[in-house]
Amino acid sequence: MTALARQRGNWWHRWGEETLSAYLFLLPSIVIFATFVFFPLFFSFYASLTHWNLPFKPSFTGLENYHYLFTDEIGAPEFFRSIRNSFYYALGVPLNMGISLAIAVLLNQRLRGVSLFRTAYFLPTITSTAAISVIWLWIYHPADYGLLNSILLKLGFSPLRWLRDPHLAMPALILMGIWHGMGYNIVIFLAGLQSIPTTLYEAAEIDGAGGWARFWRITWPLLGPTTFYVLVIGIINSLKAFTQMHVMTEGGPLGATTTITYYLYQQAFENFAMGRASAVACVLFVILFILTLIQFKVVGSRIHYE
Amino acid sequence: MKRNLLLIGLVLGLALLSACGREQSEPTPTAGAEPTEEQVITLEFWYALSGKTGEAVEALVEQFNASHPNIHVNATYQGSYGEIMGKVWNAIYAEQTLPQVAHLGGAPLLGKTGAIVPITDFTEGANGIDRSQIYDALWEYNSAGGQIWSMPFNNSVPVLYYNRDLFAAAGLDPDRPPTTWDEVIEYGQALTQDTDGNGEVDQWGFNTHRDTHWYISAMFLENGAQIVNEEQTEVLYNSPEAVEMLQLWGDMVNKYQIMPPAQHKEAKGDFLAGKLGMLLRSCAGIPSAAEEVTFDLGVAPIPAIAGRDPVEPVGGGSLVIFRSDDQAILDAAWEFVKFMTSPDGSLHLSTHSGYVPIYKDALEWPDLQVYLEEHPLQRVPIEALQYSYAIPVFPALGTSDGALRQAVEKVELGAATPQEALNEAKAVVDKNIAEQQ
Repeated sequence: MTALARQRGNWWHRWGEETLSAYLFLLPSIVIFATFVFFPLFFSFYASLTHWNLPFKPSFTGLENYHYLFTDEIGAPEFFRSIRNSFYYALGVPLNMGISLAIAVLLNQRLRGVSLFRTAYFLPTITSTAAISVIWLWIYHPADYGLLNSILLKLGFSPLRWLRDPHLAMPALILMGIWHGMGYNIVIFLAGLQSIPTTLYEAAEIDGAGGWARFWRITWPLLGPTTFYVLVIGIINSLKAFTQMHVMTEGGPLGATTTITYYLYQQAFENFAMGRASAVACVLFVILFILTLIQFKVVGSRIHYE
Repeated sequence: MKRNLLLIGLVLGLALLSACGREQSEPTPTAGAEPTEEQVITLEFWYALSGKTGEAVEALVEQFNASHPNIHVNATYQGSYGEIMGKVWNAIYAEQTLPQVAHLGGAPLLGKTGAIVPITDFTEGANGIDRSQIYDALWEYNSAGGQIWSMPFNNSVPVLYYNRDLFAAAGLDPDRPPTTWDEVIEYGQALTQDTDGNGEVDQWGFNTHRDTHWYISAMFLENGAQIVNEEQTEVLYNSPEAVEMLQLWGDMVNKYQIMPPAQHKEAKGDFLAGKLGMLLRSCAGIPSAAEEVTFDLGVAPIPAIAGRDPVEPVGGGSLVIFRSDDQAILDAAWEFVKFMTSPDGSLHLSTHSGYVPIYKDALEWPDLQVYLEEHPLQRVPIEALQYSYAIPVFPALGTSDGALRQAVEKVELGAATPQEALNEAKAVVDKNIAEQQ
């Protein structure tokens, strides 16, 4: 009896009490995570294996939904187009990063009214995408009294049909996305820039390094972790973008802005094919997961953490 | 210290667990008659109208509560038709609490689920109504599989909004709006103008609101095309009659150039800003348009093919009663639905919104006549109800609407011929029908 009790006591002392209380403290967030993240995650994986057209109950069909997405005569071309469109939209990310970094470097100078500029660049970011989309609908109005078109006309160009032109719709959304997302990137870049010790720049200056050399030899490498973070988050966010397609183009014209997320929405809320929509969600999850892994492996290995 | 932490953690965890548990085990809040002294029955009512029309619905509910001391209705706005339908389907699927009465679009689709009581169980009962007083098309709009499931409540039809000032400026008679599609083209050509002379059209003759599937369906029907076969196993969108009408639609964009391509999202704004001569849109928007515009607004019935009658496909929402084991609740729910859709209810709604009264003799109601004298534009859709028609309700309607909008877009942008576009639309919808259980 005594040996066992001692053993138990030891176990309790070594592991039990602290760990248990740690878990108890974690419990609230674990419950919330389980309810709102893990449960829906596993449920939508299960749903993707069912034939589930609302208002009927799901019935198990194995991989049929995936079969539809990858091989069906109607389904596959639409699905692959939506993946292409999503990656097309994600092309805005590097562009956005370049512009954001340039502005962040400028805002990092000791200039008059710099906080005013910082606020100005950040304002679009904190405005809701839906509100911005409505405003940009007026900017992109296809008639010659559209805001952007009237400027083009004043400058002597001919007006464009922007969101109503199958070739221009996606670039137009990318442009708006850059304007919208820039503020967040700038703030992150600014934080990164300010964490670089000024002594490095002073030393470089003494050694006679010019502006470009200082940027490429000091700023760029030391900004690595920040750039990496912005890249990962940017690509994930742009593959998840939905509101602007929903409000501004409804996936059109001719499906040119039907991204994965909008295709998912159409399956779920136009066709009420919940099983198929869940399959789309699972494919999107796998794509994001692989992308993040690649980014960590390839880009992550080249980053200089201090 | 450690023991205290443990205690705190335990208490916290338990509190959380019990909170979770309570939510699930709580009795359905309103499903039963609450045994108070007066035996007041509480009904939950979900509705989908916001803004001024929503206020009209709330006012009706208040009138009902004031005049029915034994029944209390809790009305809650639950978002658009689509959102309510999503919530209802979720509740049916997850076996959660449903309201007793809901206001839905596409209501008859719920018939198959067994969650609602056919409305004819009530209309034909002891406390019933004379169904022949209400337009036949509205009953058909609430039917599926040969059974009437729901009660018509707020209904609308497409009408032609036109700018009388632009008509006059283009030398057209504002009192003679176009009645045929040929006239729409003729008027449209006069109205389509480059007003500032920069080589770009900035005033278009004609456009439709963004729900193009509704208007192209009306045109199909006007030309004698059918939407879906008798068994509802396939849509008939690629019939010659349908193709002909989509060709006409495409010609208005590409041949006669009175309508800008793929610009339906902007059409309403263009019209209200005085940049568009004629707009095809639901009559539900008449009061707000009349309030917003700075020009003289005109409204006409949907145009027809020369020598034939127009077709006005009805849209809008309906009221459904969900199943209950308690006859007292069902009776109270019907009492409420009957009140909301009575001539008085219909009068209130149609004089506080752009929706039409659902009764055939509405134009003879003195109160409505007084209202229409001040709001003459709203007489047009009521008179047009003689041409009302119900597009059959079949389970692939959501897919069908999307497929038709895409077909219209393809033709407007020259990406497909009308025949190709409608063949593709038919293939998509037929596949969806086949996938339904």
